[in-house]
Amino acid sequence: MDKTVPGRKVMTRKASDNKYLHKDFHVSMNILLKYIYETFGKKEMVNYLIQYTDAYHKPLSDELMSGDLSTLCKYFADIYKKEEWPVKINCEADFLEIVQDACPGITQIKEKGETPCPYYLETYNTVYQRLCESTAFEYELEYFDEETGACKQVFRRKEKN
Amino acid sequence: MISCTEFIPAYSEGFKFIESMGGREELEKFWSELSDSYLKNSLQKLIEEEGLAGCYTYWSHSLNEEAADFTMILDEGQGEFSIEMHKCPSKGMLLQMKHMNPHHAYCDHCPALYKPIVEKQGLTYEHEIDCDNASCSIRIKQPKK
Repeated sequence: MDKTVPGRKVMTRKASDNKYLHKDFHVSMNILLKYIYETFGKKEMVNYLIQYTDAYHKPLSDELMSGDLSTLCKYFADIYKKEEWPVKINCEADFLEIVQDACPGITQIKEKGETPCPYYLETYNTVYQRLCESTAFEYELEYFDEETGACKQVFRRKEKN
Repeated sequence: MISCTEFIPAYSEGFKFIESMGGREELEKFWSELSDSYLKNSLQKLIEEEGLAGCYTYWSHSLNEEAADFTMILDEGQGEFSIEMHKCPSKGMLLQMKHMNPHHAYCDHCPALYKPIVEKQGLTYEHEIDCDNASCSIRIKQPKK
């Protein structure tokens, strides 16, 4: 309970008292990307995103290696729900399509008066291409509007030769 | 997309990456730039406008959005603001992720970000961190007149 007496305020919270949604983390992420890009160049920014994908998305990658796309569908439904962001997700056994009218990251960065890092789209392209590596699936960013982050992403099962 | 809910692991890997490229010195340079650019229009501005109470305003917003487990006290009579972080949401998340190892000095970024901003406003900043248990305490004080 918050207690307010003149000149003294106390606030106590448990983790369960709030939902976890700190949109300004998009701004911090952009600062991190810009730092890597401006200090070390685009290639190293891509290498950083590969390192991140290999570390963070390992459980998802393991699921994709088993040939099952359903975990990836649930993953995207979950993160967009947590972001409270409108999106169209079409998931079938062999493909997954994600269409958005704007990117939550780019939107927040711009709302705060900042400019998205050059090659911001690599947070989509590099991350999900890497995720699909050595799996039965491939990723395509069919279009990406650099201004808004409106895009269409497709994961599809690779054709057998 | 890297969701804002996935930022913490991305941040931790970012620390590892920058350190691998240029050592601790490069990482501290990044933290310094992050402090300047991210906190200038938020924490710094609030302290300029509200004094010590600006700390309460700033962390009321961020700690609630980050779903932290904390007790925060502003005592303007004593000229002191404190946070007891019972469970840091960032380090807590990293400790829960068994498939990832957090950056070895992940918790060092907090004082690196906040201390320079607070001291620039003529306040003192003290901290104690128990990184293995995702807990810490921060005390920010007005100098005695």
